[in-house]
Amino acid sequence: MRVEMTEKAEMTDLTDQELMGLVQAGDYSPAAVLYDRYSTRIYNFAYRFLRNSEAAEDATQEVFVKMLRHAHQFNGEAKLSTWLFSITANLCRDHLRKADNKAKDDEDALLTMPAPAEHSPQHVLETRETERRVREALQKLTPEQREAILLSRYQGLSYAEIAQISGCSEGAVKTRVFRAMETLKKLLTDPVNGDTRCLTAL
Amino acid sequence: MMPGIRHAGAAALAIAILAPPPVGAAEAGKLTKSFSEKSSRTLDVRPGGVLWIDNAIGSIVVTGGGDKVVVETTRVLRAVDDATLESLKKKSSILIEGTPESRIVKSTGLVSSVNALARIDYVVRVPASTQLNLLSGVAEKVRVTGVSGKLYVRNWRGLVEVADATGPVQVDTVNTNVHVSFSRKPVSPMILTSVNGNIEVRVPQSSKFEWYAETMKGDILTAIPVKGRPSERPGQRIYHASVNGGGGSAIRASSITGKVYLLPMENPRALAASVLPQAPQSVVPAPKAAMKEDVGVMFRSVVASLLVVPPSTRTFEVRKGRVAGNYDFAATLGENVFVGEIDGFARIVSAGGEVVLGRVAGDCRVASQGGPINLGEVGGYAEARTVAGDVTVGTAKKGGRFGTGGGSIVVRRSLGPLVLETSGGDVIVGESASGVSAETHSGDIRVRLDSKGTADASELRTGRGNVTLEIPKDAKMTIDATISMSAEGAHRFESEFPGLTVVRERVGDGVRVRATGTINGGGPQLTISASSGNIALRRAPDKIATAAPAQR
Amino acid sequence: MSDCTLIREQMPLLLTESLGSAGREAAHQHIEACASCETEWSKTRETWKLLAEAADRPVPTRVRARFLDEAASMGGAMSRRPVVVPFTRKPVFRRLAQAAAIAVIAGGAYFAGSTRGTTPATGTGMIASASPAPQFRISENARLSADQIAPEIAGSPAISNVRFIDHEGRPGEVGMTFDLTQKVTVTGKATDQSLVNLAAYVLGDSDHPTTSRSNAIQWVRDTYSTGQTADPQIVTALSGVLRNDAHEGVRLKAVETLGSLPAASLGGAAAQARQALIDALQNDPNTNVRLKAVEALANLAAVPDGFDPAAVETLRKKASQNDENPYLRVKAAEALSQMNL
Repeated sequence: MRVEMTEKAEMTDLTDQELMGLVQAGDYSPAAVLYDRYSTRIYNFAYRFLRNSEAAEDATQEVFVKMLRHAHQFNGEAKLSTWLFSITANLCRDHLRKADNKAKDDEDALLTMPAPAEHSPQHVLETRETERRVREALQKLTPEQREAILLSRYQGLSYAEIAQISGCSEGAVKTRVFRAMETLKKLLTDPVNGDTRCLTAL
Repeated sequence: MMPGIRHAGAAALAIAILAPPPVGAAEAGKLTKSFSEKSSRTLDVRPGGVLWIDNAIGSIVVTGGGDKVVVETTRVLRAVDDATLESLKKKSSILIEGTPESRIVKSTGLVSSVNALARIDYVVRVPASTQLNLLSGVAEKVRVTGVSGKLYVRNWRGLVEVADATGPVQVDTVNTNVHVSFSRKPVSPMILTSVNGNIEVRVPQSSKFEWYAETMKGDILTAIPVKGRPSERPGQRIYHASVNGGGGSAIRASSITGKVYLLPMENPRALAASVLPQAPQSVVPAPKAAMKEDVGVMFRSVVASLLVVPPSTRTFEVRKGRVAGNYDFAATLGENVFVGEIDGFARIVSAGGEVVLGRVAGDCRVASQGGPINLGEVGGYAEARTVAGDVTVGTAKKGGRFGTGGGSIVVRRSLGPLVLETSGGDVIVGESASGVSAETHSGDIRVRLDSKGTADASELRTGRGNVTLEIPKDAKMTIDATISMSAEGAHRFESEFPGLTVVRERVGDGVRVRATGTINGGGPQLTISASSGNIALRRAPDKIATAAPAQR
Repeated sequence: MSDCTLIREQMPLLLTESLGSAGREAAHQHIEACASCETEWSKTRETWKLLAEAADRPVPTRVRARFLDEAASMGGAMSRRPVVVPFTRKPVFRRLAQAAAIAVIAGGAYFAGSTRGTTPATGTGMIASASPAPQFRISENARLSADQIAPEIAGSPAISNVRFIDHEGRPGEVGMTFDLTQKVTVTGKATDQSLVNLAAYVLGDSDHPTTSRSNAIQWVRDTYSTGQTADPQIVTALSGVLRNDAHEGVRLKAVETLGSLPAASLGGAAAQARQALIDALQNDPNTNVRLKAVEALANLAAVPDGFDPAAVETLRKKASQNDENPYLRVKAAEALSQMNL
């Protein structure tokens, strides 16, 4: 069975719900489109959560495989992103439980991070340094707090959506975000903790 | 290796040692006008603050110690005439920016061309705790000794030397040799990268640390007894060892084509041995690299420390004239594989490299992570797939299946069915005596079928591109050809055969052109589609010249 | 004090704007009045801003490949077609009418020249060669007065979409407007500005799903790679194709052509070509396009003053990038080793 080029082009115009409808009917051809829509968000959520690029890669793949395999569980009323984040968050929590996940930042990636030519080397390295500090600070949070702040700050989800994903009340989300922010504030803005801004990515 | 060649190599290198070549492309001989100027200044940098030096051309030597940052510079200008020299004087300068927290020293207006050379050499003293960011382009040397703050060095060509750094170190280089040494055991993490240079780390014999080394086309060597674990990724060799029981900091070194050394303080490099499993016997370094290896041992350490010419890229190759029997080879290092003749079947998996096989008597399967595949004549069924690169086949006697993730596919002659797929690039079949299924996402398709070829069904599809099919004038086929998204009048269906019905219908913004019908009474199905492009059905010349690719 | 505690708990809500308007108003009033809360608020905001500095990383491409492999093996119906990775398109050229739309005032003959005051073309005026006084203009819209048009209509041109109009403000005059499809043949030297412009236009016209673009690239390559000069405009147009075309086959031709142009003659356009190649090397989803970009960059660097720090850094990073195609990494290393750094 051949998908015409024209249909292929149009597939990107279909809504999540329509694409999932196809998947639920056993047609996996929207897999690539759905992956392209959400993989960056899923991967970065997992990477910031676990700070381990290999585990984040595995989790990303797993999430989308689950999306196909358990497509029938997707209830068209919720947002697909919410459902995918629920799966991701579950996988990440499992990973933390199972493995003594020593945060492993792959320096390789740091070496090869794109440095836009229009920025001064100083700017580039300072950005790198800030990134490192942020990633480290996120690791100091409890997993629950981290999950909440990642979904709120980086994914722009509402507290209601986060509550659904984390399986807790909205009030609990509110507390987690608050506590996370208190910790991050100390780590990132206090001069004592804001370690000297060396610019090497180490 | 012939003694004569050895001598020649050694002589050339000796000259290089005596007179290091001038930095850049400039030939010193032509640049008769010169000017040089020294200056010195003390900079306000707070203790533990950051000092940047951004210097495209010229050496940087930094020594830790003292309580002030003192920068001494030598500006060296050379030019073919006075006017050029004057303009160099005006253009080249040193800018000082930033704050005591982060002080930036920047050379501007440096050039290296046939007519002019402007470089600045830096000699700097800093308090040991100063953090350093040295951005260097071309430098005979960048040398840093005795600092404890974080250190970052970037260099494209030359030599980077770091001695007795106690803070974290990162060095990123291109055609640069990197030498890092510790007279006491290393205490901080370190990342050293080079693209084409060698990396050498010297430590006291008893140091404890985690050593990670990586290379693609080079080698990993040590003279410290280590027990480690080599591993491979496609095209890449990785080694990890916990030195003296490990723990402590991590030292990572990676060179794509150069060598990565771990040595005790005093040992000559010549005593180091490779930690990698023996490369396949048939793997020989390319001649250039071989000559470099042939330099006498006593020269090596001197040469390597002074030589600013980048080591040549070592491209591994497997070259064989004839293989009597089957040839089953995994080119896990991304070796280029060239084999003249294989009497049996061929199965080659490449981690990324060229694969060229002259004649394969039996079946042939080639899978490559990237790089072109070229097959001369395959007696059996042929399959070749590459992630990126062209696939070229002379004669496929039993047909085959060829694919590329991007690149063209050319089959000059096939006697069996062909399946051809590229995600972008042209597909050309010179002549086929069997059906052809060809698909490209964007690119032209040109296929010629002979009278046997038209006895099978064929299917040719392109997204954006033209399709030209040549068939004998008496071929009996049933045609279904569609141009699915033509702008009004932009594309044509042309046929040199009468009897087809062409329907043009408006679809959305464009026009769909569909030609159906039978020629010479009909026969096997011939399906052609182009999302946007012309389709032409032509009569092949009466006498088909064998092995000639179809022309437009 | 408990007031302060409450306000501080609400700060994250203020950031996400998920507080009702009354609550927001009250919180801001308190913050403005209370020095310690104001400090906390500014720290909270700074932290929130800093968090955004940890930018998204690109997902390594192998994840996509692994997932799609696995999806294919799961038995659902998958498309056999190679997966099309959309490449960001930034349309440069606005949609133009595909045929010159020509308005002819007060009837008269058929002609498409629009330069005022020129001699009306004859029937063979369709063929225009580059001459000192251009008589023929290729344009989207031509507005002509009847006396500019030769009375004869040559051949049987395709005229469509005809409308009859009143001439604005001039009593007694009438007009008709129509689309005209005509065959135009232009010949001249490869360096003639009109031909350069035409080639650049056809290359850049992304709105027409025609193959003329890939044919144009081939022509540009045949014409300019062997010559001594290539017009900067051609480089601009090819760079545009490389950045914008959704089809890897077309981008492949563009990148190969950029690499085959005589580097020494490009002058200022060389920098533009390099930037387009650097972008392609960093961002193009097709491995072969990136591979050809490596080769093209090496070619551009092989001339005096062809050295470009950004190109060196991009190649260096590509050579060291663990998830890049290994063959490409080695090619990048080779390109660097041959560069006259």
